[in-house]
Amino acid sequence: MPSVLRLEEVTKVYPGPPEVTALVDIDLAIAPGELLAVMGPSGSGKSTLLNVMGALDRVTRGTVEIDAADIATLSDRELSGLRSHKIGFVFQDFFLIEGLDATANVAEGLVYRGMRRRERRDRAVAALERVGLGRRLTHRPNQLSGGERQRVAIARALVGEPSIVFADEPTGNLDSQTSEEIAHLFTSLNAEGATMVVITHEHDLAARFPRIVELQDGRVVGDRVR
Amino acid sequence: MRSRLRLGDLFGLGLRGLAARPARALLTAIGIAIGIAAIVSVIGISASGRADLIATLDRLGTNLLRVTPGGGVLGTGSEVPEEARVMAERIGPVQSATQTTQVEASVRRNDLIGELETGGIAVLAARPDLLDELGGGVRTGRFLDNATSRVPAVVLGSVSARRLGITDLDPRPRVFLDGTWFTVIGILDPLELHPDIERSALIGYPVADVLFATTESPSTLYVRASPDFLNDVAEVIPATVNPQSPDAVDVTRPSDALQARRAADEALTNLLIGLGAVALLVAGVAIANIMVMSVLERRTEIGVRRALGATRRHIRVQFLFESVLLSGIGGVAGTLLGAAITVAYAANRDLTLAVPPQGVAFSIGAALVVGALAGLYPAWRAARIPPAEAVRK
Repeated sequence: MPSVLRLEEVTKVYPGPPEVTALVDIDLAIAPGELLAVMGPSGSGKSTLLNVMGALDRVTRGTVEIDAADIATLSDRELSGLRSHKIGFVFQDFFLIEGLDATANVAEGLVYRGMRRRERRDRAVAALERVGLGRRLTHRPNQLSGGERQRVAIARALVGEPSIVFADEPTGNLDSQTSEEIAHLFTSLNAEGATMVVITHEHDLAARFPRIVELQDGRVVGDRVR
Repeated sequence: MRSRLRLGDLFGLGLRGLAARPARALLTAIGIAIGIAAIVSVIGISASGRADLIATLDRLGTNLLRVTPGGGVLGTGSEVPEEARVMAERIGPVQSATQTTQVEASVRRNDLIGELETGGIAVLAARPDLLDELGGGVRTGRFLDNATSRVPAVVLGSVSARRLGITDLDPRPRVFLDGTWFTVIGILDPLELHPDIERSALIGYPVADVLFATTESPSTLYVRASPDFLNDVAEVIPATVNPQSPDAVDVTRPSDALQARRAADEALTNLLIGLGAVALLVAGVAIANIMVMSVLERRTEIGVRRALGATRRHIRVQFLFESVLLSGIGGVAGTLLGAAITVAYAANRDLTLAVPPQGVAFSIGAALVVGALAGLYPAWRAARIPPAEAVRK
């Protein structure tokens, strides 16, 4: 089966001074339907890896392929197109728009698809139901709990039916009970077919996922499948 | 597989961007509104004023020459021939001519008032066609005609009437002219171009001749000529009306005063429009400033939008549109304010209201252009923010 995402000898160096080598010769392939954790202490290069995998940043050396497309050959505009259609992001700080209700926030994930407002809303409602927020459709972010906000953010990442979803420390701002629920949500979304990569430094969270990639000093030091 | 942003969504993004910080948007738009209001009201007020001025000029005509052949106010110049008017009429392009002659008499309310208290009112002998030639009218009563020119009848200029305390002709008021009672048969409307007539008492030549030995030698000639040859007429007229001393002849064009006022108005208008433009420019700089600040504050939003699939162009257009929207709102508000000022001013001054639509279109266009220019740099900066950096914790 072809990979959704394939990294081959990826190296990322931030130009200095001082020059910082964030990733060294990373090889990684993610198949459709996988749920994996990328784990490592802070400073290990997790966020850089996320940016590279999510086509938010370019690599210094090596190849990144998303759905068999080498992103080095794509223009900035084409990369934007790729992000709008094939990639979903979940951020630690949620990054929801305060003035909009949950449905509109999720629908915002489809704005750059050129989709009609009506269709965006219909899909947003479906996505919110999928993450268990069917009864919070018209609540604004400040009327929602941290866990609910993160669910809205997850719905926004999923609403465009992307090939892969990246979550950057999705439970970093949540208490353990809520973290547990979010982890459970990831597992069940994955069971429905979503391909997900969760970046975290929490062992407990990582341990719940079928595959764990360990990162240290910019190198992959472990890749275990349970 | 391309990113697309619908026009309607762009509109929504812009509005939402401004609505997120309403006080800031309002304050910034006020700057634009003030500039635009200044320009629109200046254009409106001057257009209204000019409309009145042009109407006045059209009514009075600009082809009337005022000729004073006697040389000087004291009338000490050489004797002007009595045929001066007839000679002037013989000049080709001259359409008509009339005249007045200073009468050696004073006018008083009655015989009990001292001879020296004339109130600055001159007594002039006038031909019956004078009023029509000057484009004037009577407020009440009537002007001199061939019959009333022969009897002790007088028509008062508007200022003279006020000074003599005569406001209407009922009961038949009389005034005292050096030993003879004259009946007031008419009071004139104001004659804006002829203050000397406004300040005079007019009687007929025949009665002036009989009572005060006034000759037909004119102290002022009024010559109406074909507009195309007006300058030529002005050039030959001195030698025609006073061959002995043409240098003593003074030829003026009363409408020049109005024209000068119009030119001065225009200069002032241009100056004020310039000030409005400066205000607009300052407002534009303020918008640019606010937008740059907004871009800095909204790095995360920009990053999230890029992550959601926005292209650089989408980000650029979003901020540019916000800037244009801001100035557009200011422009519309300013136009309404300027129009309101114009309406109030015109109503207050009794002017014909004229808000030129081109002026309004121009100022709204100017506001939009200012907004677009002000937004260029901030939008460019916003689009250049790398998405990975913008979403960094």
